[in-house]
Amino acid sequence: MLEVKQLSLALIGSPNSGKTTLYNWLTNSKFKTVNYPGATVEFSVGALAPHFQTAEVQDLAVMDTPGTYSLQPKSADEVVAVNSIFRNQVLLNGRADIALVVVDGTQMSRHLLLAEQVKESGLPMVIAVTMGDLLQKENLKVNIDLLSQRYQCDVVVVNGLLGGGIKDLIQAVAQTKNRIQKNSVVRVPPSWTENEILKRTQEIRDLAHQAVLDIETSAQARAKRNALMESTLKIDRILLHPFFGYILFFVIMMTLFTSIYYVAAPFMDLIDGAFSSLAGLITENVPHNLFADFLANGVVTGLASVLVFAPQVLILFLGIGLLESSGYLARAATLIDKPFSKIGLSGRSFVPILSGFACAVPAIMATRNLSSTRDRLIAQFIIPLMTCSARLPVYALLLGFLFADQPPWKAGFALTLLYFGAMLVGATVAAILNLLLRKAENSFLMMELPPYRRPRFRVLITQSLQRTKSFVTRAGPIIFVFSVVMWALLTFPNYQEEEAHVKTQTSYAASAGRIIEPVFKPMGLDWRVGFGLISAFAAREVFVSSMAVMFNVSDDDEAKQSEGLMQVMSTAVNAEGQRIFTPASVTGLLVFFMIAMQCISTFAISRRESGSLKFALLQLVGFNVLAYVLAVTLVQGLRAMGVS
Amino acid sequence: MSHMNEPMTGSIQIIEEIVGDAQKKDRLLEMGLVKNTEIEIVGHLPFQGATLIRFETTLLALRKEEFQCLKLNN
Repeated sequence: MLEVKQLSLALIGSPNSGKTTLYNWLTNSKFKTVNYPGATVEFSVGALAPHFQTAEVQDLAVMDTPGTYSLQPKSADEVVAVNSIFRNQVLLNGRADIALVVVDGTQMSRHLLLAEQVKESGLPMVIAVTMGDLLQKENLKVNIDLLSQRYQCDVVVVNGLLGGGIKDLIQAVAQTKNRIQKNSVVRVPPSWTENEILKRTQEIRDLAHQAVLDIETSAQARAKRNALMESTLKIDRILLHPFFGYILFFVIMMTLFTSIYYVAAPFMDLIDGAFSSLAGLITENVPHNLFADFLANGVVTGLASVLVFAPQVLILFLGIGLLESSGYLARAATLIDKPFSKIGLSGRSFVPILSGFACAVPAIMATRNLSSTRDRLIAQFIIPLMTCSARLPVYALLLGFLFADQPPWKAGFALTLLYFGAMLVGATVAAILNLLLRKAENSFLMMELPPYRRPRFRVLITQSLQRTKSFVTRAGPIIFVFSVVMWALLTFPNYQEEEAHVKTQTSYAASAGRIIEPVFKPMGLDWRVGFGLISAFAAREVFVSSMAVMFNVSDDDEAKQSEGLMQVMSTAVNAEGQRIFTPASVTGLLVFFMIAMQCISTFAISRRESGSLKFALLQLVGFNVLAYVLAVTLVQGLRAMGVS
Repeated sequence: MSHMNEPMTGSIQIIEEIVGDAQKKDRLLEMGLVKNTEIEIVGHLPFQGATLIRFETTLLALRKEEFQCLKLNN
């Protein structure tokens, strides 16, 4: 576990206050993310960037916390924000030593309320007024002395765009550090009564009006001042239009979704190809023994199954970051909030669920942005039901077989039905969870719609890379271990066998397939397909190659392999001489794949992100049992209706 | 789209009181929606969706039940 052995500076501010941009400047974007104990919401800790270090602040840890409107938390991420400052065992003194209250200079009349609470907590503080560039653009100047007098602390205006004012801020932190009194009482301030909030809000509004001074009072300057808000309203008239708003929402989200799938594809192929070559090199150059097999098919394949997701994770985080920093994500959540509320979700859940159509692994990770624990759990639960890209090779094979020699639109229509079927099952499961889960916390929309701004790409790329690195280092080991376990099951006990076909047919995984054959029989399948379904737990697309191994179809070219497999499938019979792949059994298989949770990586991520093994097991068992029951019902129903 | 009980888009309203459950009320107050605040109704999303309001330099989207916590007097 991370331990901070030096004094700490905690950044605290409302959402959209410019806190994270400032944090990136202070740490030069080098930090570690830490899960608060018992929660999946993170805070980050980094060292002060070397070029900002002075003799007085050489050794200072800087901590970023989730955005909060108040020190009286009302959601999971706000609880973490408050706890990471006031009750944090990672930090030297069990709490932060200095608070850096981040206040948006254009929203001062609201953001200063947090400064009031921090002052009341007794924590030494410095105020950073952000959006210095916008204030300057609008010919406004901050009366630092007035704010400094009210809060009895240093106040510095910073420019998030160019990093102006950061050195002054460090100087202010150094001065505050020198003023820290040992044994001073620091505590979360008590909640205010309505009258107290009213009184403070009024005082802050007056203060904000006095603290932001007009440098220029001409009509032209005043018009320029409102330009940002007016242009935002103009854009919102289109993007939040009752009709076109939804169409544009659909287009933007489809662009994000297809980017995750298509833009990542060449990079994923590259990673896959590189690891396949590495495995090939090992097989060719290392003497054929168990160790070589373990290296090539256990370690290298395990590493590949971790890193192959990295491009999708990176593109997802880049896409979400772009939408968030431009100001659109808040609008998207607002648009979809009402339909989602019908199944117990909020608009904020939309992006993670949509991402599930590309890959459930980064999609479950994206649920971290949801402030409500309830929303997060429901979204995490239903994401594996969305039709991820790994299902497509399986659908291609099965639909190709089912609609061979028929017009292509039929297979296309069936594919659409599979997508909508998955969404319907997902919505039904979410609605059931909505009824079952206790409403322990209020779900809010109360969405602040920030002005549209041009994103800072440097920060965006750094943050996305940081999050991707976090995915690889934290989720990677779990995925890797599961992949190695799958290799062991497919290799032993007959590990000395040269023929891959024979080795897998005699493996523990194949034995398991034979043992559970009676389970698959009602689906119209034999043990070989059962084995294919078990091997798909490593990754769904593995089903196709496993089937090729089981039915002895060998061709390195994927397209030819599928073609050959379809031919073999059309004549394959079970021990009783009955055809295995019939319209009924293949339809059952399709429904099984539509619902079953067969991805070990998803299981591992779900367990980690929910913080509960029971939760992940419930998904694993629940979706697989549901998939099985529906598939059997369908196969038997079709047979009863005379469809073989 | 405007509904019978919704204030007209573009209208200016004054918050007379904040009502409703404690958590919602507290959050609205913390966001700066206190008594006597002047708000502009920017728009309503269809199907009983969010109401968009503007006050000071802030744009805010509120669910119907959140918006109903604001007792308005125009």
